[in-house]
Amino acid sequence: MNFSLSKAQFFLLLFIIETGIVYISFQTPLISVSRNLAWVLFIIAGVIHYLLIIFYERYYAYFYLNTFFQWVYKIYWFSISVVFIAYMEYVLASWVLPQTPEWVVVLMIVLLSLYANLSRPETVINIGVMLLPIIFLFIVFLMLAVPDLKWANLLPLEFDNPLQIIKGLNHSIYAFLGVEMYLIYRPFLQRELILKGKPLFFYQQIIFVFYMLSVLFTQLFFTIDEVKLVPEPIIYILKSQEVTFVKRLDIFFVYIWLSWSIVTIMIFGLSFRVVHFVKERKRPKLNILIYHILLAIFPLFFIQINRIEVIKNSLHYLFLIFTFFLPTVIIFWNKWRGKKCIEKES
Amino acid sequence: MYRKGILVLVVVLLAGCWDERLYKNSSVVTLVGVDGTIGDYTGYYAYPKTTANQNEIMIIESTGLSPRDVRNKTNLKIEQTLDLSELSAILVSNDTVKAPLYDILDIYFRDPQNPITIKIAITEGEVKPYMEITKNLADSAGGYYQRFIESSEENTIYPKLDLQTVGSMLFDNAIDIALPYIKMNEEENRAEAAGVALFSGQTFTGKVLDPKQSLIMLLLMKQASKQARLTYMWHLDGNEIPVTSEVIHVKRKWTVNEQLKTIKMDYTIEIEVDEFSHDKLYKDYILDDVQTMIQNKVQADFEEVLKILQEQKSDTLGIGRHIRSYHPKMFKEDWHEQFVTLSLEPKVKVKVIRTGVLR
Repeated sequence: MNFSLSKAQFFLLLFIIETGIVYISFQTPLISVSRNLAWVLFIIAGVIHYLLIIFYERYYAYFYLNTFFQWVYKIYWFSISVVFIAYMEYVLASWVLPQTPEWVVVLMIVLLSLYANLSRPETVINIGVMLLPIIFLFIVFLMLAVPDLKWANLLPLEFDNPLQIIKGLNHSIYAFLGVEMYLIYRPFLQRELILKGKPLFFYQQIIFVFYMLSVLFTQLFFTIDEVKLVPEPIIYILKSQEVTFVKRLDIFFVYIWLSWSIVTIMIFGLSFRVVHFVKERKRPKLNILIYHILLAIFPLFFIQINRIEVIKNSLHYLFLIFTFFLPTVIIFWNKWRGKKCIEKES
Repeated sequence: MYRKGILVLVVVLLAGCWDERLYKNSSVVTLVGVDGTIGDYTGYYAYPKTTANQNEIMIIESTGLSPRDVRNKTNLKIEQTLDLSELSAILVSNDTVKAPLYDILDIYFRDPQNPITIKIAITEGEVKPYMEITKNLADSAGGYYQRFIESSEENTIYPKLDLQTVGSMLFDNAIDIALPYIKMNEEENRAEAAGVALFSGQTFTGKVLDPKQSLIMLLLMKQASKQARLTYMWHLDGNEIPVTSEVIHVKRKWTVNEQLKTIKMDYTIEIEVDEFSHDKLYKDYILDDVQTMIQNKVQADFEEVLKILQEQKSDTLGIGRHIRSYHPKMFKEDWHEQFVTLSLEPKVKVKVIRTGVLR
């Protein structure tokens, strides 16, 4: 595939994919496991995330995927898309559309992704722009909860349980799921553009502050025993706010989150295309269609509370493999062999 | 591409078909009453009905095993399904809350269609008469109790709570709730704010603080609202003169001694004199005397309320939260037992900072 990205497009793509689906839910396991330490561990996770993208920036040229690893990542992204779509439908069914058949919602999401992925790559890349004002609006709504926050919930801080800290860190860093896309899209950045230094730092600060707000609000709004009962705490906080112009602020935000998450699914589809069509293939549209047909069928098997819970309790381990372990192995293996991926012409 | 766009749009629009809910098909409930205990609940639902160009508030009653079962049974009796999305208040009888409160609240938190910014109050005796008095209202039944509770919140009689904040505190063993308590004024056939019902954990202790004690408790909690008025008698030359003052600011500092298990609770209360029928308040010796009198009275009231809270194992001030956050070694999971053993030493300083538009 041939396309080029500006800095803004690249960071927007990365921001949407990292925040898209997990934003409303990762706080519950994080706070349940690490209790009052959650906010401190998330700051450490932010530092790890920054170091990781610096590492990616330095060695992205060596992230060459052979056929085997191409399939490994394609299967991973497909699986992630499947479970994310299942989770999106589950959240919609719980909060807004309890009577709507599951297949209708899944089909709706998949059709939008199909539409975007049959179009030029620029469609998927630029569609995230429309989300910026509504994400800003969401932050404004969240601020309504400030009077209900209990600052004492940040304390006490006890660092005497290493297992709790490790688990908490794992759940914290999971917030940045999808960060490996940096390696996929970095070669498409226009050549003359430099990301090192300030641009990377500002991007990291924006995403970190955006996530940190959600962790702080959840921790300050709910008691620890209470948050264990609330799988989507951010939506619940918004449900607890009363405004005059809309009866249920939570529904308003669920739809914001839905559109945000659909764009994430589109980007996962685009990533699949980027890797899949490295080689010239016959009937590319049919390939994309088959991918989306499977994407419409598989999620239907996961839309149940027990399966959703199993997935939520295991994704953060998968994330470690595909974001830390495999990229490191692939990068150092290729560096040792002196094999680089081809940088696209701008 | 145009056709694909149309197809996508049609699919998006389809999603609303199954979940369409029209008000014309629903009985929009604004007030719910709950009596009884698990296995034998009685529920009351108040909803407006228009008959012959006249608005009327209907009250319907059902029994069932659980709050949800009661609602299901009620649906069997009416021509339109109950819709609680416009609910404004829940009334619960004092006998019902002797069992864990969350038992009756779970359905309100679990179902996203139920609002959780609503008010909750405890009634003295059965809920039914409190529901019945709303029948003749021109406005909604729930709206009446919502305004009733909010008005007492502004007068610093009831703490500012809604269902969400109540639920949040029910899951925290380091703080207890105090809910609005309403009694029936038989002569006037109207509800009357009777103070707050003290809870220990999820259950009602049976103790109710009267409105004056409730106000003192809220000052201890540093939650003086728009109006917080204290009235005491000032003795001068054998005469009794009422002095009413309004609380302007409350400053609080708690000092914990972990070894001695004592908490020094220093309060500085700044007040404005609202009523003083004797003149010469501008004279220092009179102002000092009035100030000292109010200070001593408030000191005594603080001690009395703290004693009641400890007797009832009801930490409505959130001392447990403070200890857990800033003195974690001192905090124990069975907080209520530990709370009773603490030595709480309030010390109040009252300052008159204004005297109204008169000297």
